[in-house]
Amino acid sequence: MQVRLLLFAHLQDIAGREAIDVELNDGAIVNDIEAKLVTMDTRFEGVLRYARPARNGEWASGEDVVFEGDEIALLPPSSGG
Amino acid sequence: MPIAFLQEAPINTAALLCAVTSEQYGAVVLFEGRVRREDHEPHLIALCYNAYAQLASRELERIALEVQSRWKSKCGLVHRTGRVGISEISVAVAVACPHRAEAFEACKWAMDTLKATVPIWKQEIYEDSAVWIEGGKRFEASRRDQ
Repeated sequence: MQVRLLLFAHLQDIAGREAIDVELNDGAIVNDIEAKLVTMDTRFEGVLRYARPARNGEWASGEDVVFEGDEIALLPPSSGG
Repeated sequence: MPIAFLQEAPINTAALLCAVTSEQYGAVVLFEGRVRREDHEPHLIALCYNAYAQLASRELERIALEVQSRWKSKCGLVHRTGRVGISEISVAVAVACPHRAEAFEACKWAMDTLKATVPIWKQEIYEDSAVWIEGGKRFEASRRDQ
């Protein structure tokens, strides 16, 4: 299945883009995305410990199951203000 | 509906103050966060804010609702996205309460919570470089956003 991954701040710079389509196995959880990212660039190692995930616009846990068509966002520590 | 949103355009704090003020409130506190010029080199030219708009808007709304509930107040929060120049307002928080002590307290809580929780990131833009700020960490940016 395919999910849309949104990246922010320096994570966009690592990927060279703001969004990536990621192929995952059925039953995959949010944390499984990290392994896919590391195959693209090793600087993504540990990204799910650093960036908090959101799923379809809501805060999520790394243990949450993802589904076809989901939008997963990886959100680094914020710096608004 | 609380007043809580992101916008690219400059923030009109007079309009924000009008929106929170009413006759039952004797104290109105307005906080403006502005981009400051720094004396040391390299000289900052501007900040550029990147946000996860869908969740950031909802978090701003959640903060405004909590302020209104906890302090029996009216609260407005506005945060810029995109490029914000030196001296421009990047964020504004307005809180109207019956009395000043709770107005100051609520405004501080709203701003502290916004900085800690709302998914917005600033990029510091210098003449020849740019840096992402993420929590307490800094990452050299491979491109300048704007």
